[in-house]
Amino acid sequence: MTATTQLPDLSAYRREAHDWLAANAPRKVDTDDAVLTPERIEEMQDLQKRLHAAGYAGFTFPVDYGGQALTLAHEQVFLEEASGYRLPNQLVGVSINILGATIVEFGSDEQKRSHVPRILSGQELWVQLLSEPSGGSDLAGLVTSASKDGDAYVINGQKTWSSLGYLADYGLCPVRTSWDVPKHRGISVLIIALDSPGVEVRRIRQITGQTEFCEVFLTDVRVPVANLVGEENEGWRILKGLLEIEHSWVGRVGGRGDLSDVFFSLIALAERRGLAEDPIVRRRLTELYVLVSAQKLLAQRVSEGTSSGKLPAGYGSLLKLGDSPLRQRLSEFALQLAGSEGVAWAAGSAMAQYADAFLNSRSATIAGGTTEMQRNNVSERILGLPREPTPFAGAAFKDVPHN
Amino acid sequence: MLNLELTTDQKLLFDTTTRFLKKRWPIEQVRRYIEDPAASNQASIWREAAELGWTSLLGQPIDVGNGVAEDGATNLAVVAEAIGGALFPAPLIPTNIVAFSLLRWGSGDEQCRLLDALLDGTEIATWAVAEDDCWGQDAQHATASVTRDGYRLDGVKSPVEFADEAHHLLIAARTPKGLTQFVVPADVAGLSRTPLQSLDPTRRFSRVEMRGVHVASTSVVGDVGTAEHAVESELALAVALQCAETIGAAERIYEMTVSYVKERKSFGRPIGSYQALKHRLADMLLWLESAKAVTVAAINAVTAVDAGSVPASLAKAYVGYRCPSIVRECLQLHGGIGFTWEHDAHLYLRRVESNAAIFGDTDYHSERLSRQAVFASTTQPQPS
Repeated sequence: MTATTQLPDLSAYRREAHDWLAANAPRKVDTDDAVLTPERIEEMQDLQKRLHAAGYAGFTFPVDYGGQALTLAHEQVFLEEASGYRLPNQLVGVSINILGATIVEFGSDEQKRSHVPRILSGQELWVQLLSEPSGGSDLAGLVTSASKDGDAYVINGQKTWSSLGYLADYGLCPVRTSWDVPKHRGISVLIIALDSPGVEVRRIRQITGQTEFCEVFLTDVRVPVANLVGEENEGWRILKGLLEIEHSWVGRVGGRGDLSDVFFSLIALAERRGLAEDPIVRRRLTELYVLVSAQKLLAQRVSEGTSSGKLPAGYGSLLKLGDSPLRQRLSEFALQLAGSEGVAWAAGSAMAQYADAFLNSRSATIAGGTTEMQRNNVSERILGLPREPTPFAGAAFKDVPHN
Repeated sequence: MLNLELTTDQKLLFDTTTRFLKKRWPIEQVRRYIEDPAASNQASIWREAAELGWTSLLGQPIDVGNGVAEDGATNLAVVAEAIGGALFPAPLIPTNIVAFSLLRWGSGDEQCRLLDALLDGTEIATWAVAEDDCWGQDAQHATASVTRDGYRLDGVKSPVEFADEAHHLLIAARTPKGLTQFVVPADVAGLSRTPLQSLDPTRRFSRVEMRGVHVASTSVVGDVGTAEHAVESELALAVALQCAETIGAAERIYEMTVSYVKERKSFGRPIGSYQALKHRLADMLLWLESAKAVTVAAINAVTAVDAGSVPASLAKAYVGYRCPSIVRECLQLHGGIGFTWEHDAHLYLRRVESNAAIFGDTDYHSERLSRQAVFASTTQPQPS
């Protein structure tokens, strides 16, 4: 915590992480799928608790809130060592790296103390309640409302596309607290306990057939004023911060696994299918190798550049702009390499994974902000290009057409 | 900025270099050079640049055979980036590759004197490596047969940049004992240089032909038969520096384009407010920043011992693929004016497209990556 604390040397840190993982974490196996069964969830929660106890959660979070106060380079080393293991990222990744990190940056001391250590140990699962059925990309056009009643806000509205919402304990929820000001200036961010009366979570079936994302109905839900993050009507600043944290994390470590791991699984597949000597296959895989390697080096450049302040905010979007379509290309080519067995497989065969990964990858360019929105962010925030003109600039939200 | 990790001194080097070029080599000079190289003072500016240290970043004449300065490649890349932005036709890469070779493997008074002349800018040297669109040790077919007092060289190297102006050439040729490097005076009997026309008129290449060129044993650089590793190291450095230069050029035209779309109006508003254009500029920034990331890795690998040629081939495969796309798009976003001779867009286009081919294009380096990295475990026996 103090400035004099010596950071662990990276190679020693790597050795320790290597040994700890070998002794404590389950190895990935070929038949692993993305289905979160109750047993899988329990296993992941148990492992997360042990990871946190051993110091492998919240790498860059302050020690006071259960973190390790290390650098992104330490996180990177750990993730490299962890690439062959089945970590609980699928369950706790968003909760820790987006919501936990947002609370660390914008929450009150009380909010940080009561939630962040529990988020890191996996005892609390958090969900983002951002998108609404009437608007996805136009986040600031949200219409879920909150009005103050004594020491509580009363919330009414509906949120959607909330991944793992059915498992979550808390949601971070932007709401409209003023309709009399322009749309970006009437938003506040609240922490909602999802077991509060009036919260109803329904699971939505996705194109993969799974039901991990949810819609959340909020009817007269009372939330204590103490759960307000930051100031009332200044939530847009927090949302921008949250999105930058999200894009940077997604671009850096993916939340979808290490890009190199995905790439080398394609090489293994090509070898299994006897295609490793095919000149066209080799050429296409080499092209993907170049793009994957460049994206990884870009992620390193942007992580270092943004944490040292040499690159401005907005570069997180640039990372995601590169990462998401590349993951889709990898999944598309894996399905192609799998050949007819990729689209018609024997029951119980591991070949099922390629269709599943392919379908799942279609969300990469939508979830967490579409690729089109990343392009807007990059061109407006980094390049300073003008926004598309709006005739409603400066008008109160209640007076303009909205979702 | 290409490298985010520069020291204060390196940033100062970049600023000094950029200021020097701004003053001595404004874009009008590029146009003057295209019409008549002699009228542009390019040669005397190069001598001034040598005095500023562009030729002595890798080491000093005293260091012949002792190796190169640790931060030499990083510093040279800083200069290369500035040169790319200014489109200066400097023999920075050819001369420094020869200096690199002499510093690593050179020996004897003669090579020490040569290095001295290169470093103070009185003479220039070039690296004659290409044969049939191949640029590494695998492609060297020129021969060096043993004579009574030295070697006889035969073969063709093309294209060779600055061959016409160079006083010396570094040439690899196959002796009975294996690939060997020679420094050869440009005016030696039997060596002819035929100037070529080029896509980038700020770049002057020649075809170099050797028919019975006799050289003394003292012209051998390093040990006879050991040049395969040397040629690969030289290519890795050449590629890393060229990528830095390409990025300097691509970034300059990209910045010009971003400014242009903010000012130019169509249908009553800046064209840069239309998503159809903004989104393309966002993609181009992704390519440019990724190009920087792979290039920095290639530069750092030159400094690292035995980093091999994978980082360089990765950089060249990526930069050679994406940077031409950036500049083509920049020209497109300028509309009609971008297709005019007066506008500078084509000067950057010519430089970047030309760089994409020189020292091996994306296909050439992808093939190397395929063997050395992607399928390394399946096509090469693993060390036990």
